[in-house]
Amino acid sequence: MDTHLTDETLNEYLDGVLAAKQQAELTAHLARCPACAARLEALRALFARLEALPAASLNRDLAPAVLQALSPTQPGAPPGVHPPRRLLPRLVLGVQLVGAMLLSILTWPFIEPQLNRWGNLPLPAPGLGDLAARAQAAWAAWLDPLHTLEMALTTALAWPREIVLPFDSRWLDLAGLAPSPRDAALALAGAAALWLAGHALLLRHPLVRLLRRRP
Amino acid sequence: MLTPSRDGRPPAEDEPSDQALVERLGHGDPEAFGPLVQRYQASVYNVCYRLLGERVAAEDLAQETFIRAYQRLHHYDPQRPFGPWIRRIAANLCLNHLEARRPATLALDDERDAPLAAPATHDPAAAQVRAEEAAAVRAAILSLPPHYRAVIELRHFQDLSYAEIAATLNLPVSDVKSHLFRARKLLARLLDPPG
Ligand SMILES: [Zn+2]
Repeated sequence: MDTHLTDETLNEYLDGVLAAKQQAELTAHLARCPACAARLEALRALFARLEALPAASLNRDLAPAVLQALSPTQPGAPPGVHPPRRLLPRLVLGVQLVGAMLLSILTWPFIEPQLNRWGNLPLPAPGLGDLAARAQAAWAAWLDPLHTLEMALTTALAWPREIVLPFDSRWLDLAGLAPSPRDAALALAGAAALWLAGHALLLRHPLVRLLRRRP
Repeated sequence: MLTPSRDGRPPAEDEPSDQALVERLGHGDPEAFGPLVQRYQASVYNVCYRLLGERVAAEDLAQETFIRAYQRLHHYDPQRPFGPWIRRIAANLCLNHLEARRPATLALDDERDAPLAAPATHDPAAAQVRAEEAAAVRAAILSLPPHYRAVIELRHFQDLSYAEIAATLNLPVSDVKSHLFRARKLLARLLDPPG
């Protein structure tokens, strides 16, 4: 008589994973071995008892608590639907960066003479003079259409030239503010540029967010 | 009382399909999760109850399962049925829970819970027998080590293949088979003591 069926074979048979050849061998063995047939029946009975286990009743609706738990942390869409929620911060970041760049360009004519004054020091990198010249040219080109616009407005509306637009350097003199309006404008624009760049770049840096999360 | 079901309640004719609800979630409508919870909470709760043996803990873990599923919705393949997916999450969550609080305390208050689970009948004696049988089977499952419980749950109550169980529990198939066969041997010994 051949060897008895292994537990593994009986289990695999009831799990339906035996290959056709093994299954034929099993059937043949069971036909002539009551011991293995009984083992199989016992295992089959266990399967049936597990199968017959009735479902327990859930006595409350979980949905309100689940939705409540999800609402404070997930105000909008579930993860995987991030793009709409991340669009706004990115837009703000973009606007801030453009704003900071614009302010830097606008303030450059005020900073440039200052740099020139320090020009004798070895501090400015080579090529900075070139950059300054190019920026000044750009600034001049930028002023031209503004002057044209200013003229047009002055003529059209017959407003006193001084209060129309502040782009003429004479306006700064006329304002007669103390400390010098140029310094005030420089300080204000510089601070604004720093604030925008700082807010946009530094406060959004992952490291800073980490620090803010764990105070 | 909510309809107990092993497979979850299929949507009625006029109700949106699981896939339609998941799609609505994907378009940022979290309210669409409510019907999905209601559809599968009974079957998810049953997974947790079989594995934990305590009603309150099972409710908590079932709730946690839905929260986890919501957060991992981007892992769900809408081409496949929602029920099996969330029940696998439930089994994993319960297994982690059991392993975290080892050694597991065997819930012997099951006998008290069991009559609720037995179907209504006019024959009190038969109902009593059924309730005792259910309590015995639950107690036997709960006496198994967590990993054995999990493979019994996934094979016998969720009808997963060896390979699917292996993927769910992150185990080699050989371990799944040895756990499963050993668990069945232990269950048989507990439910049918020799002699
Ligand atoms: Zn034999």
